[in-house]
Amino acid sequence: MDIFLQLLISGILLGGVYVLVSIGLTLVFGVMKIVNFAHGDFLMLGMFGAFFLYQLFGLNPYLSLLIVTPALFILGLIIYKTIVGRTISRPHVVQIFSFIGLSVAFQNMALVLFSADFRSINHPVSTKVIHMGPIHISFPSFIAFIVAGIITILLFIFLYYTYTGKAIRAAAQDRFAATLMGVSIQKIYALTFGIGIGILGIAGSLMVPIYSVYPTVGEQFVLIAFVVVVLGGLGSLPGAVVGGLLIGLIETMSSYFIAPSMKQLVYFCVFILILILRPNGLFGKEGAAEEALE
Amino acid sequence: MLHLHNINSFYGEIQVLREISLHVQRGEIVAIVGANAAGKSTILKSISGTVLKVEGKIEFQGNDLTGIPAHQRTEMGLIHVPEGRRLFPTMTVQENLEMGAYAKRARLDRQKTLDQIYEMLPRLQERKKQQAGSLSGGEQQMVAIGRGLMAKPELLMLDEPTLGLAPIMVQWVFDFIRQIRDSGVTILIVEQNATKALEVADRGYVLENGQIVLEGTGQELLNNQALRKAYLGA
Ligand SMILES: Nc1ncnc2c1ncn2[C@@H]1O[C@H](COP(=O)(O)OP(=O)(O)OP(=O)(O)O)[C@@H](O)[C@H]1O
Ligand SMILES: [Mg+2]
Repeated sequence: MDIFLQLLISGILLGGVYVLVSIGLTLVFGVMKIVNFAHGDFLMLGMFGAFFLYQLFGLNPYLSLLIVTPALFILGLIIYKTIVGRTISRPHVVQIFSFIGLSVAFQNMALVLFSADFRSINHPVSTKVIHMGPIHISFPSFIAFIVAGIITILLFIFLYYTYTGKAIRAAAQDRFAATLMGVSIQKIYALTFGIGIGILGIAGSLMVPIYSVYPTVGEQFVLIAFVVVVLGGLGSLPGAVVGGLLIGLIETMSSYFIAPSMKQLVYFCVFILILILRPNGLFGKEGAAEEALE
Repeated sequence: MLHLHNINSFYGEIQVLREISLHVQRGEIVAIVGANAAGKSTILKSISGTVLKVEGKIEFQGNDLTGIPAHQRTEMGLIHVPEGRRLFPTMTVQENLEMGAYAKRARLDRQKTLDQIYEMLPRLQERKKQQAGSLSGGEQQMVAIGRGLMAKPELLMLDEPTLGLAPIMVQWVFDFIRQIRDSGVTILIVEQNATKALEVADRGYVLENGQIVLEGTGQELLNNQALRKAYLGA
């Protein structure tokens, strides 16, 4: 029983990280109907940011979040202005290849600047464990989970209870009508993209105590993020939350009960199964994928 | 107030409007009537700046609109209520109305305008927490027009506001349009329901294949034999 409880808690905590990695991807997709194939590479930049702030200045990763997050937000705005914004009314291939190009550029830039080494920080929080009776909880995973919860709630409040947030939702539901209300679609998209990328600054800072960082680290997580987002339903925030927690749980359970090397096989099987039963994902609205490809 | 000079509009390479010239004076109700695919909506889209390629000159209150993006035209009081209502379906009635006041010119008075609209359209106040997508067609049209009014229009452009409505609602819409005009808002309306539209309109234009083929006062057009044959089914 204890072991089951332990796995349950570990799985949910891991899911928190996955939620954090996925939520910006689903937000950007939901509003802009574009798929950010460079999402994982922005995460990599966030992780490197937090890593070097610790390595060079001794800054606690939980404090570096306050620098890395706005930095990634601004980077998101710049990338939107210079690249993404120009592809918005272009054919889909243009968008896809812009992002893939961006991804290749980021990875190789990181390779040149930071080399291919795996790096991890040597901070006491990395290995800190909270003991609750027989249950062991990794402190950095716990913090990541809590922050993921807070960010999700803040994002929800922003989108549903502020005027700017409502404008984002309006633009997501009907770009043409929103323009007629006087909404500048370019501004709303830039803001959305900035937020989507900014959240990766939070994710990156919280993940640096848990995972090592290297130029292609994003690939590993972006794959999970795609699974989470499609599973939850493209563009759905609640979907990303449930999807993230579910994948975290499945991964943890299957590594224990089956084999660590099989965990991906298991969650991909669950993924395929759910998509057969619910082609739009758990919370997806009908036609979301087609909308992206129109 | 609004002047179009020799407007040509295109979707990609396809030309939809040819040499359209028309004008609207302050305080008027002007109707544009014409068959399906004549280009009526395209005229409104050209004016609101939502067609990509428009040649010719459009002036609004003395300003040349060339090069002014759509969202800034809203800021000038030029408001387009699109065909098919285009509400934000999963937002509430009230949120839809509030979004109408997004332009800076309307934003500060948002609450006041909202109260006025609820007074004019009490049905919307009863339904304010309901999702817009769950309303009946007539109610949705009320929200669409109300949302347009939230922007404090100088000129309100309505694209087929009676499309798909029951006769009693159609009558209500036209009465409401008169009421809006009497409150000081100029109206440009596009309709397939030509008889009704020309009855309320001061002046009208008849559009055929992207060209204006007739113009005159509402009454003149209603009495025009050729038009009666072609459109009014008489
Ligand atoms: N986005 C578009 N891309 C290409 N062609 C378009 C587009 N929108 C409209 N058209 C074409 O332009 C022509 C005029 O369309 P428009 O919508 O202005 O007609 P309308 O008079 O409003 O018709 P309806 O009464 O059916 O609303 C039509 O032939 C239509 O197929
Ligand atoms: Mg039309």
